[in-house]
Amino acid sequence: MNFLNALLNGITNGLREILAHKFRSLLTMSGIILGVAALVAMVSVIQGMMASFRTFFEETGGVERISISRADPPPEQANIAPLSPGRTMLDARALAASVPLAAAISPKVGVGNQPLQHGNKRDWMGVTGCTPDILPVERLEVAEGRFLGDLDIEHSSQVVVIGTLVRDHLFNPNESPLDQIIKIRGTPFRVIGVMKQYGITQPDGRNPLGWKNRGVYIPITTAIRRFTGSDQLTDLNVKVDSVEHLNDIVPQIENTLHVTHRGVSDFSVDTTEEALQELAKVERQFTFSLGGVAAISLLVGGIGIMNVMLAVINERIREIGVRKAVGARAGDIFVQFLAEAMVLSVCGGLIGLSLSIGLVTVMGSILSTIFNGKPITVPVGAMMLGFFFSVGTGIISGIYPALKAARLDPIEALRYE
Amino acid sequence: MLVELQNVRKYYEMIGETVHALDGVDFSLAEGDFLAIVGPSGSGKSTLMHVLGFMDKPSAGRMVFDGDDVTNISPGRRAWYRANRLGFVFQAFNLLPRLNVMDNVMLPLSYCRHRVPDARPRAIAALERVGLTHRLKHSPSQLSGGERQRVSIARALVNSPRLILADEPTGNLDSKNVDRILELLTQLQKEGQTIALVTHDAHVASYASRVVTVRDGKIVEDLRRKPATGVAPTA
Repeated sequence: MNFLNALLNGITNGLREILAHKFRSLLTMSGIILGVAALVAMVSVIQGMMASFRTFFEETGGVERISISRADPPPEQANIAPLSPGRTMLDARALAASVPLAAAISPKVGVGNQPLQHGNKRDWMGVTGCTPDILPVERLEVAEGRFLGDLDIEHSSQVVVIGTLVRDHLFNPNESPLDQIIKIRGTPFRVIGVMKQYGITQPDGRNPLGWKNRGVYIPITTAIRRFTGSDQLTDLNVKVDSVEHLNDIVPQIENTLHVTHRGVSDFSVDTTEEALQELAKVERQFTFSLGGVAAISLLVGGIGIMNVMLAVINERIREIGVRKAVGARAGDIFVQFLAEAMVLSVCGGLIGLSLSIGLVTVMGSILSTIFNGKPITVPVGAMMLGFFFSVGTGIISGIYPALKAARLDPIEALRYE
Repeated sequence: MLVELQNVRKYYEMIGETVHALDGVDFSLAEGDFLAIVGPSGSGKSTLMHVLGFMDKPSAGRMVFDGDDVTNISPGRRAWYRANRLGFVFQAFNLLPRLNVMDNVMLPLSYCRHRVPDARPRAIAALERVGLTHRLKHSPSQLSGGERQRVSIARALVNSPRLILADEPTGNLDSKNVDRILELLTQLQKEGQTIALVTHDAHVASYASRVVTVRDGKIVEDLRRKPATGVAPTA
C-alpha cells in the first residue's frame, strides 16, 4: 500500500521529469527504443518467415512426402554412371511393384511455361505431366469434373485439368470450362476438370497459397510424347502410408532404384523430416544471432539510462536532501528514482514497440513478396517480450543510481551547491 | 518538556582528528517556546539543529522527544519523526522547482506513511496561515524571495508539527521581508507553535522568547526574554 503509493508518486515524478527535459529524455530512451524495436521486429519477422515456410511445407505434402531427386554419383562410380537411365517411368513402375510401404507414387514431367489459348484469350503457364497419384502426394483436390485417370495415362489422351487461376485467365466468369478445348502450344486439349480454389486472395491482391492455383495438369505420357520427347522425370515423389514407416521406406526405395539404375547411385532419397530439422536449426540460428543483436542494443540502452540517471541524481542532490528532511526514508528515495528509470525505459519501450510495428509492416511487405507467404504481423508474444525487456532494463539500470540516491546523507545533500 | 538533551555529544572523524561539534549539551525546550540558537560559525549551532531535527544522531548522551527516548532510533524511525512531528524551514527555501506551490506544500504529507485524505484542504489551510492562497498553481520561480519563504513555512506547517526548525530563515531576504517572516513566526508562536531558529543575527534573535548561545560545542548562555507560553507578552 505504502510501496504502491511511493511507486505511483515515482511514476508521476518520472513523467514530469521526462516532460521537463523532452529532448534529453528522447536521447536517453533512444537505446531502449532501438533495442525494443529491433527485438520485436526480429522476432516477428523470424516467426512470420517460419510460419510461411511451414505453410508451404504442409501444402506441398507435409512429412509424409519423400522426394527422390537427382544427385551426382560418387566419384568411384564415374565409369559406370552412363549406364544409368536416370529417373524414368520405369522407376515409378518398379517402386509401385516392390515398395509396399508407399501409399502413392507420383512421377512428374515438367514441360515448363507454355502458351495456352482458348478462343482469343491467351496465357502462359507451367504445364505438368503427371499421374493420378499427384493428388494424395501433393494434397490436391478436384472441385469440378474429374482428374486424370489411369486410362488417360495409358492412352496418352489430350486432356487437361486446370487450376482456378488458369480458368480465370482463359474463360469468362460465367463460362464452364468443362469439355471445352484449350490449346497448349497449338495442341488441342479437352478440359476435364478444375482444381479446388486454394487460399483466399487478400485485399492487397496477394494469396499466400496462390501458387497452388496455377496448375495445368496433363497425362505424363502425353507430356513425354508431345513435349519433352524423353522419358526423363523432373520430379519423383512418394507418399509413405504412415509416418512411423519413414525410416523403413527409405532403404526400400533405395534398393529398388539401385536395380533400375543399374547400381549407379545417381539419386538421393530425401524425407521432409530432415528438411524440417534443418528449418528448426535455421530458426534457432536466426533467433540467437538476431536476438543477440537486440539484446546488445538493449544492454547499451540500459547503460544509457543508468548514465543519465547518475547525472540526474547529481543534479538533484538538493532535492533528495529536501525530500529526506521532510520525512522521506531511504526506501522512498530508492523507489522514486527506480520508478523514474522505469518510466524512462517503459516509455522508450512503448515508442520502440510502435516503431517495430512500422518496421515489421515495411519488412513484411518486402519479405512476403519474396517468400510469397502470409502477411507478417507483430505477434502479441513478441510485443509482451519487448515490453517486459524494457521494464527489466529499466529496473536493472535504475537500481544502482537509485541506491546511490537513497544512501545520500540529508545534511550533506542540503549543503550541496 | 517537548525536547530534552542530556549531555549530548557529537564527534566527527576528520583525517585522524576528532572534531567535537557538540561537547556535552544539556538543554530542554518547552512546548510553545520560540527559541533562537545563536553563535559564530563553527560553534556547533547547526549540529545542534540537526540533532534536534532528527537529521543527525548524537554520538553520546540522551535525547528525549515528547517523553520518548529517541537517542538510538533507526533511520526509518527518524524519517517518521521528520515527516510527522517536525517542520523544516531553510535559508535557501529549498522548494522543489518542478512542483507548483500546492504540490510543494503537500510534499511532507506524501511521506507520512499513512494516507492523508484531506491533504489538499490541509495544504490550503497552511497556505492561508502564511497568506498565499492566491498562488496555488504558481511555480516557485514565479515567486519573490519573501513569498518563497512563506511557502516553505506553509510546507513546514502542513503536517501540524510539534516543532518547527528554521535554519537562518531570513538569511536570503531583504530587511522588509525579514521582518515579515519573523512576524509570521511570532504569530505562529502565539497560536501555540513551538519554534527553534538558528541565526547569527541579533535582530532576528530579538524576536525569540529565549536565546541560547553556543560556542565550541557548548551552551555558554541561555537567556529568557519573554514567557514561553506562546501568549502575547504583556507590555
